[in-house]
Amino acid sequence: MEKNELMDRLAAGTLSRRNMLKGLSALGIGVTMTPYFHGRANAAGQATYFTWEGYEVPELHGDYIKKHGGSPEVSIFADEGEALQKMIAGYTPDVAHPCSYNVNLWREAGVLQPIDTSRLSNWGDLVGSLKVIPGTQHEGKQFFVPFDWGNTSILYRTDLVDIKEESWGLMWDERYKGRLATFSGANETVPYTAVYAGLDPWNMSDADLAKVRALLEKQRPLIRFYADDVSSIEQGLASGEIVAGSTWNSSNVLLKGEGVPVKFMNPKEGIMTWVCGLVMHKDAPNPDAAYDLIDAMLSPEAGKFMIVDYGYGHSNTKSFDLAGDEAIETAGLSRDVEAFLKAGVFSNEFKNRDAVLKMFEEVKAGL
Amino acid sequence: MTSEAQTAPPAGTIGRLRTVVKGAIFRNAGLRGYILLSPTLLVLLGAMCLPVGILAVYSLWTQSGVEIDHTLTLANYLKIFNKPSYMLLIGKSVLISLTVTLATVLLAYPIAYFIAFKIKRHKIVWLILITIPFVTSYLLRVFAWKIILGYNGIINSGLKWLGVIDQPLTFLLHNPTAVVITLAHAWAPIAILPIFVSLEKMDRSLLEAATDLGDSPLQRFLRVTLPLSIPGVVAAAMLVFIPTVGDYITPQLVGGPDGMMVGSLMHAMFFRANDWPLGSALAIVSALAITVTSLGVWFLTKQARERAV
Repeated sequence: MEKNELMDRLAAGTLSRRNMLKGLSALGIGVTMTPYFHGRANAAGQATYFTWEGYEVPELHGDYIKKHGGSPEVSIFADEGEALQKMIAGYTPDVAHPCSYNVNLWREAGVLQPIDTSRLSNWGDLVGSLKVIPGTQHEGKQFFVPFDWGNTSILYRTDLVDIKEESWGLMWDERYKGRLATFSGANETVPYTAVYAGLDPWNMSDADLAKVRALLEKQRPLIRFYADDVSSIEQGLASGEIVAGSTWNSSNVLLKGEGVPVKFMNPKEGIMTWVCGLVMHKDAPNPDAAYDLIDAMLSPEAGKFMIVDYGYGHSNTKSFDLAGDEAIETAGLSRDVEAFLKAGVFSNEFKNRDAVLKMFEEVKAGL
Repeated sequence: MTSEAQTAPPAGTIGRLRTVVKGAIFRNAGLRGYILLSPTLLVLLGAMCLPVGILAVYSLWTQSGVEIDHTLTLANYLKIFNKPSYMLLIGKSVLISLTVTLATVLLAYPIAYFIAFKIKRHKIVWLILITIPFVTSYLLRVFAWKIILGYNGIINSGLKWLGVIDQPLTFLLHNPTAVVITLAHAWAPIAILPIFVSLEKMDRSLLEAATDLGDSPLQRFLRVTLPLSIPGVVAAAMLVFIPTVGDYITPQLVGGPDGMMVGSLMHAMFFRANDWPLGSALAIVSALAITVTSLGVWFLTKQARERAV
């Protein structure tokens, strides 16, 4: 039965019950299958963007939509390690979104191609120091376009937590047993543990690693859940299921906007800082669209959205003029990116990455 | 068969070869069977044996970073067996799954019984109704339980509204119990169907005979219905037990730190810790643990049945 015929006969009241059920079931199958075919049909023209939750919103690639008439195809990852494994296994997005400390590993794994910065109209306006983060360039070629920067810290409920001074120690506070949450990724949880222990997270000896492991094992029974995504931490904080959790700037802005009494901590041991950005897959099927997407995300308009709506820093200096000083201050950011990043502990590559990652997975599994 | 072949045997080498092959096929029933089975066998070979073989080979390698060292070694197995906590984790997973299996079978049996004995018409409608939860995504079913058991979930807000509690209960979610509840619900249809089939095909005259000989309904159930439905129950138990041991998404979403199962660790080894070989070795060891447990359960039921007869 044709769709229009179904509607006409339905309107005329001449549709038998059996035919109607048949039509409805056909419609049902059609609706369920649509997403699959839709994705494939679009794949030829649009770029595919492999990113964290929240970065797929149209506000962050307005110029791309103007040029291509739609948003890029998006797939989400929660952990950069998983993202890399997926690409090693053959997934080929055009653009992906790792943080600076992972670029070296990704390049060595053979999933990246150098980026021709002359094709990015906004490249000249980017903060100079972000372009030369160690590990993001190789043999004079640029493999990473800085996009966003910010903090990892503890977001806590001011009405439910009673602390004298701000410290990472809150994540080990027995008083809040079963009401704390932390990221399930080693890249997030291990560094602050090392900082709390007074160690250099990026240069840990085996003895240091053992100390960190002991701390993480001590933390495990206090943890309500290891979070794979920020939304579960945000929901937990909003409902009061957890009173404190490790998270990023955007959770702070989001929950404050909803009127939840939270504070993004500036721990005395040092807040974590990071820079993430865009890379191109070695076999990107739509390189032209990929360059358009990267350039669109670097635009001052996208940057303003990052600062005002998410509370993250942006790599384009013009974004700050557009956002205004008030928004910058509300978000706790600074125009002096270099000073901001140096004021905290900048996220780097682990010296003994394999051992660190495996150690944390073992701790989580209770080994 | 072509008509040409029936009229005269074709001359030449190819013709002779054809005759020989045909002859072999006609005479040899076993060969005919294998040819008939060949699509299935090929699929089994490609989709089962080959991946398991690759897994076994991987488990004998080692990995550092993204580089895989192809020297054959038992290092991964030694690591697993030398550290008791690995075996404890596998043991915990098996235990959680056995609990899930028990819960699922106990809940599924009455439903299967009801459909087999009490429903006279439109049984197929009932069976379809039961399989409907299976149509929705597995992930959605897990999330549904998150909503039911959650901190501000249906149970907690309901009890709060009734005034039974003033603080939400926290033992509902993020622990092994939540994993058991979620899995038991998700796998219920898989358990109902085999039990239903074994009850449905039961000879009803046996029940009448038992009644005639003075059995009460309970005695009749224990002495006739239950023993005859045991094959279905065992099948259901296996179908639920085997896949749930390796589940990782349910523990991840509702398990909390204590609800972690071996599947979570395998997933972590493959996707996060860059150690495919150790992940493969874990997969093989837990597959062995599953096999041993399943054989144990099967053996025990067999013993029990023989003693009953």
